[in-house]
Amino acid sequence: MAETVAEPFLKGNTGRNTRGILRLSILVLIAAAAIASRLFSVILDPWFNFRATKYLVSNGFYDFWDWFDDRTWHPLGRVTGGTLYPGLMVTSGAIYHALRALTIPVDIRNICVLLAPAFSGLTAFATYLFTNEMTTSPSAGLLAAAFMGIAPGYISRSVAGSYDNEAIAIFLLVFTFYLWIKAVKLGSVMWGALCALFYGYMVSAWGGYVFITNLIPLHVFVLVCMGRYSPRLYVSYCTWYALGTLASMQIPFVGFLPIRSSEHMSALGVFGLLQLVGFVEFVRSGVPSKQFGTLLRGLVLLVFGLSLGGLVLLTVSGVIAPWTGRFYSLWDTSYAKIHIPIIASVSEHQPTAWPAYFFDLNLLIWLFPAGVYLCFQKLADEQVFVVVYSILASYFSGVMVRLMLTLTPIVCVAAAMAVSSLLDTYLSLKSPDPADSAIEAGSNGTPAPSKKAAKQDGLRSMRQPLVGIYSTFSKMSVVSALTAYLLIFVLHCTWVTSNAYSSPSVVLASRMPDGSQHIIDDYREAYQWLRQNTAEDAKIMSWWDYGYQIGGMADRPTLVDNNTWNNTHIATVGKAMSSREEVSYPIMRQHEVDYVLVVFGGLLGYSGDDINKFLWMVRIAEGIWPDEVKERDFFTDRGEYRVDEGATETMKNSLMYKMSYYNYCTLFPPGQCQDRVRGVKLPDVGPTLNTVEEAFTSENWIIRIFKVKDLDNAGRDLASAASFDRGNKKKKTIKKRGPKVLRVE
Amino acid sequence: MRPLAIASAVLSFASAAVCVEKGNLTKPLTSKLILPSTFKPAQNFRNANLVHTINLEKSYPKESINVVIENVASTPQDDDTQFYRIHLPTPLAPKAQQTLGISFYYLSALNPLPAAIAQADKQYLVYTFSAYWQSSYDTLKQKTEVKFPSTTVPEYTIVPGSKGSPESPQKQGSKFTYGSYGEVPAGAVEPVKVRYEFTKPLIHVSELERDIEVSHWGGNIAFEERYIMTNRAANLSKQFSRVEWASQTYYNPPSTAVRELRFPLRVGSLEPYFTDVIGNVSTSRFRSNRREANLEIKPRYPVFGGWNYPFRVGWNADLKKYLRKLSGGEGYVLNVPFLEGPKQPEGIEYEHIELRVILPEGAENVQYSTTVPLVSASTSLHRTFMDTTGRTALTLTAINIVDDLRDRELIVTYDYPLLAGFRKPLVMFVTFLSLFAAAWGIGSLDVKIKSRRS
Repeated sequence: MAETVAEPFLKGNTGRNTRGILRLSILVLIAAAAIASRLFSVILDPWFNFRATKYLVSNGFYDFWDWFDDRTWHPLGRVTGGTLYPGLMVTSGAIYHALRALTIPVDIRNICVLLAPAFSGLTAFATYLFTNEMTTSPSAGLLAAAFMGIAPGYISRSVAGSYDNEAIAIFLLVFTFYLWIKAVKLGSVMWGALCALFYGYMVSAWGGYVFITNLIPLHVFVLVCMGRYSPRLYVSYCTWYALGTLASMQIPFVGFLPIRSSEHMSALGVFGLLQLVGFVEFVRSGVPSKQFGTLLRGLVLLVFGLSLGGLVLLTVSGVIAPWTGRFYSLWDTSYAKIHIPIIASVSEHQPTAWPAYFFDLNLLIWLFPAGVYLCFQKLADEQVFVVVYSILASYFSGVMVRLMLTLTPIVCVAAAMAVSSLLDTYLSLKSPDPADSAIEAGSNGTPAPSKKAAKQDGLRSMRQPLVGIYSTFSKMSVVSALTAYLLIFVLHCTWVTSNAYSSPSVVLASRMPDGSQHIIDDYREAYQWLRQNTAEDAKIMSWWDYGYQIGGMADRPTLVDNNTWNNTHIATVGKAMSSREEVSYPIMRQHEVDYVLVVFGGLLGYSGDDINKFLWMVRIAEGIWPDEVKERDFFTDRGEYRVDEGATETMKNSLMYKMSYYNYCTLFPPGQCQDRVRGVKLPDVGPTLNTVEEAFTSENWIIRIFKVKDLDNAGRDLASAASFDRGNKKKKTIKKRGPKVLRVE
Repeated sequence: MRPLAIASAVLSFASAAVCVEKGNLTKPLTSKLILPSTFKPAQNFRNANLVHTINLEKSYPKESINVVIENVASTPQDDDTQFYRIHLPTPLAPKAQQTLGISFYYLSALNPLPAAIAQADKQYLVYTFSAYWQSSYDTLKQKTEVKFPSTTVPEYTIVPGSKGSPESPQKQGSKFTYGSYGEVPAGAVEPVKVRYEFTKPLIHVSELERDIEVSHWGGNIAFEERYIMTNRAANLSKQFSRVEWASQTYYNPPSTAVRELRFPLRVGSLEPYFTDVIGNVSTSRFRSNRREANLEIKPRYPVFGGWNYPFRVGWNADLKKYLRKLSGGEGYVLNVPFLEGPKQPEGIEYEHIELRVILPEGAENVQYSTTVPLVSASTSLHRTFMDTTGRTALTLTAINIVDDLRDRELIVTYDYPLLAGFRKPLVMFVTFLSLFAAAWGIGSLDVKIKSRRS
């Protein structure tokens, strides 16, 4: 009845328009949901990118390219233009100028904050396009877009204010893959060139472009091995490789890496292989098959020998960079722990725990294999891509938590294919009529039954089976169960987003006894203090985690920051923190340090503080100075890491320990001094500091800033000067009084 | 001694003078003339009786003078060329007398001594002035009263008595009186220095930018104020100690640190925000009900002497409470406070204020009037959200203002034709229409290279 009314809108030309409008509005709604679910709380992070964007907007592109930043990595400075991926900043700069041209004066900060959500809307759209290339079901694309829009695995890196390279890179990743599939399908130079263009954009935006650089050749390689070489493949790959490599070499940070580094060699190798295969195919068409066999064998041996010899020669002579440690750590998860503590110290470089998959992907993770399985049902070139992508991304996501991000798109696509095939099967109102379905299956039935038919074509009698769902009850139960799962998925995503991924590290929120929100804003308090009340060029030494924040929020030069690759420089800071004051002071003087910033969570019970990170500093410093800093010395004889009375002498004398607990016990009545993170009682007499003095402590003691003392005026060393200041009176009074004498009269 | 010529003193008229009526109407009445040092005005007047009051209860000295002037020349005099020219309401007849009340403020005139103190110490300020009022005319009788915030005045200059007058000062609680003195020639100076306790912050705003944006369509008036604030109080002699501060705040003793700023806003103010360069500051409270709208903000850290804290606050309000349409014609009258800064018991001084009133696009014939002394005024165009011609912005600049003037009004009248109000919707409509038309036109073009197969 309702159908008859709606019929004119669902059929023919009007029907197509109606569906188009419906699809468009659904996509717009998905994009809106994707953006809205990312707005739980807004804090700009990381600040370096924001700072760079501001620089770009105010100084123009060419100055940005040549930007030498003397406020980071002091005293080395950073050739910023040549050491970053400019895609993110250029994107927001372009948006900024476009809006300006339309006389919409939006603050660059707002653009930076909202860039990630906006691009997540685009990602949902790109996922829709990508999925549509994979399956004929029209609903799969929409489902994939919806999954992509709200999957926590992607939200984790794209909430409002998370202004990192990943913000735009995931969109570019998915869109490049879409263009690649399009190019392979059509064998079109245009799509190949577009793919290369977006690949170039991706290279400019994120170091994860290497994933594309390896995945596309792998796809091609697998296709060639499967005997699916075709001119389409040749045209699209060669177009992409030639243009894409040239485009990627335009980024100064990448430069000649695409032809030198081993990470890019697979693309080059596959490019060569394709030429050979193309040549062989050409020869095959002109030579009788008997001679062709001999020719092929000889050719294969020759080429293999030549290329292997060439590769070995080039690697030995150093033209091609050998495998980097970062690369090894992808294959051997314990490699980093042993050889590169700096990589292992980052939490997002840890191997992924199993629950993380469920946490980040929820029901998608068990639909994912089903979707991949469905790809095998109709294994065209593009389905091979899904399979290859799934295998590769699944492996890498297990190696590093961070790479969960590259897995998410394909999980969404595969899961959407599984769900849509289920829904398509169970949601059709018509019960299959035996006679009807025989015709349908013969010609073009709904995809699901025909797939099932194709699967079971072992038996002749089953070749055209009457497969379909007959009873309304089974339809209802499956559909309602699926709906419930999807609803739970939405709930889960909202919960994860609001609880896990929207708590910016800079601000801690807690609840007061009366239920009102209390915000602990110590980081910004301290950064603002630094910014307003210290000299413009005062150098701040802190552990590298806070480098970007100090550079951005406090606008002060730092020694090391989140992007410092110079391991020795980081180790220097680690050594200064973990050594005795007499050792640290010359280091700090040499690096012109004015203030030292430490994070201390003892009062509040904030566990991400420097004492808990301290062992990494020790380890990294030990990597460079194994004789001077020893991790063993920070553990007690029984192998415990203690900060209380029983802490080792090395621990108690380290600058970090002293700064963290300096003056802390005066807050408590005697005997009740407690560290609430480690849950231990501290000795009543706190450490004394000679070479630095307390300059500022934030309200909840999370940030403590110490000023490095200048050299003593009287030429004494600071320790004796300080002890003179402290002990002055005491010594005198003792001297005056003299030893006590017992009166005997 | 500070010469009166420096424009750092703000002049206001206790007796309703002509100046106010002429007002700052559309053209500020400020003109500054550099006079040679030997300049001396014609001795046509005499100060018959003068009472000079110095009020040191706030973080800036407020001085007021009540003076009876007498025309001693034979011809009627109607003006008095001083360092500040005072226009008399009516010409003063020979031998006639007139009482003038002049009050003014000195900015950044109080200095802490010692310049650096410990965190919990008391602060003492030094102020230097003259026991004789520095006039260009002879003064027959005068005295100078100094009001201190408390009775703790450890040091002050003692002026020995002469010509029968007793030794100064005479103390009366927290009030000191120098004088009274007999006839004093023009330009005479008797320097006096006082040092008194004042354990409160000296809040100094070196730059205040205040934007008032009027939106007829939204029925909204938006205020935004950007402060560059410094505390001029004594610096800390040692580094800041959080332990001491934490235990101190418990008892809330007087301190030289700025803990909190209170903005009593107009009733009906909405959606306030308090941010600084890093972002939102979460330590603010806004209490709004039918009787009051108080915004209380806390800087991120206590602002001690020598520390800076620039910040930004803003809020919205219903336009109806501020704007009235003139009966007949297209004229509107906008009545807003000139200054709505924080109201602190110790007072606040503003070195430079730039007030921008952003009127809707197409507003013309802008006139204004205020009793706040201005140094410049200009009208410019401000381009923002999808403007085609730009909005009319009236920029008023005032220097050396104190928060005593915070309730002064600013009245702006302007014409806003009906058509100007419809400009933006029309422009948007036409733009989108042409955009769609262009899209349709391009979409219907056939640019295929392939030959058309029917």
